[in-house]
Amino acid sequence: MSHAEDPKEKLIDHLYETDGRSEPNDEIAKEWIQTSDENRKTWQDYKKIWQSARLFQYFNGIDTSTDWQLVDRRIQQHQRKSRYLNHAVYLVSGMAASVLIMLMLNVLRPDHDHSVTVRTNWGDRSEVVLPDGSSVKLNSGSTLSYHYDSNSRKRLVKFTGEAFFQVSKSKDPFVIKVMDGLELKVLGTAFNLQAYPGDQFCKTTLTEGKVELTTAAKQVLLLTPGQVAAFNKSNEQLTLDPGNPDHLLGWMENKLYMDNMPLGEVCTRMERWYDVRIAVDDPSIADSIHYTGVLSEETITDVLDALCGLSAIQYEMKGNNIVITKK
Amino acid sequence: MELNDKDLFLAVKNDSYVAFSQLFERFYRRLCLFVFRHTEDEDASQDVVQELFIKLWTNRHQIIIHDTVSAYLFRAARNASLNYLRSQKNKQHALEGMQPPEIQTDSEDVEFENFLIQLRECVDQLPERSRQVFVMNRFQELKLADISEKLNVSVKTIKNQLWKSLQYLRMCLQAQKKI
Repeated sequence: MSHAEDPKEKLIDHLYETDGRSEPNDEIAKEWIQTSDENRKTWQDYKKIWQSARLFQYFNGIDTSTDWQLVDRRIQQHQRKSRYLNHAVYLVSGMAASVLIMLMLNVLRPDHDHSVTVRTNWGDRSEVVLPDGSSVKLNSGSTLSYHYDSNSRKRLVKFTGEAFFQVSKSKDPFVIKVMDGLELKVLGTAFNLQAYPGDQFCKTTLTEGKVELTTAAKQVLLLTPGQVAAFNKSNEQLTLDPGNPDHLLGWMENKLYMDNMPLGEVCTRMERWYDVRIAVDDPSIADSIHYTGVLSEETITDVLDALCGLSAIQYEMKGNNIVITKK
Repeated sequence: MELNDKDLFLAVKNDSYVAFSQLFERFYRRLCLFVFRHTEDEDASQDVVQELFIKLWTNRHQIIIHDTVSAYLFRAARNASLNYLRSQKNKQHALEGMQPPEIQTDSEDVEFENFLIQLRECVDQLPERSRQVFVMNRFQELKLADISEKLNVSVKTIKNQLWKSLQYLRMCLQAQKKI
């Protein structure tokens, strides 16, 4: 048999040209396939292997984190378009941006109807001054929209995330709608509000003045300075939290105070602060390992090294993804 | 921290963007592969799946999942693929005579993933020279003529090596009961 008529070569040619998506027309190739059931089966398998090898290459080439950024960006754009079409929206990231926002917001007249939305990315923090002169230090992953309603003469705020508010004194109430029906009403005061969508509790820490909290079921709690109110999202109950109020303010000094805090919660905090994803390989250690103390490290690896020094865990980091395992 | 699919989706419904990003990480590549098998278009597949996740986030409060999250996502991906193919056909861009493969269920998809993983292992076991040729052609998509030039062997030799590789890979997959 001369090499030009080698059926194997013909079949490879066919796979190469059509990616194995059809049956060959070539007589020599057809004859080989039809010689026996075994050959027919072999040919089917070869086509599958040939095509699959390309699929595997495609599968391996997909970069999840790059594509996540595309999706994330489009969702943020979409949310701006749909929800705040007529509002000013600011994404706060870094100092330069926040200085700019203070300037822009101060131009707005405080007693006119207008809306403004500020947002911080995961890993970013910033400070803004609202049109009424109130200043807000935003922790990462927070969104605040402010609206002055001249009819009801109220300063209306919608908020998720964590922030320290210093509300300017005014006879117009400053009302924050948090989530699950929880509302805070304040006049002039300073307090920290921790209200991340993923958390079980929403915590308000009052440092001065007065805050009145109201739930959807009209449960009312009046906070005095030094007290912490905890709103349990699962049963919508408001209670006074026995925790140390100073510890809840630690984020402004880059400190995380841990009072017997489970590893799982420490990880959630780190994810927000450093914009990373942390997976705990063994779910049992997420709840069973607890930490007490204060973390004040600069980088995520410093924090993780510190945690590994305190307990029998180790970690592996690839880009923004961290996996924690038992040692 | 590592929630199961169901709890992760519940957290998404409760507005957790972190949970949403984890869900994305968990399913994105698998869904892309699934869509790619239908559309045969790399970029379009990733677009289709990204669109699916954007809709998932936007409509999270309305979505109710009756069976598993995985079954729900693969069903949504299947519908999105069919819509895409339909729109391509309307644009007269669909390749003539190209048949989309039969629609699989998600369990078949898991099987196919296992098949791919095993194939990769078998490729790694090929004799050095055959592996080189196979990887260059199938993974790096080099033309036979280019491979022949690079390795300084005839195209005929390369075709022979590809045939031998297919023989070996089939045996290897058969031994693992994957084909």
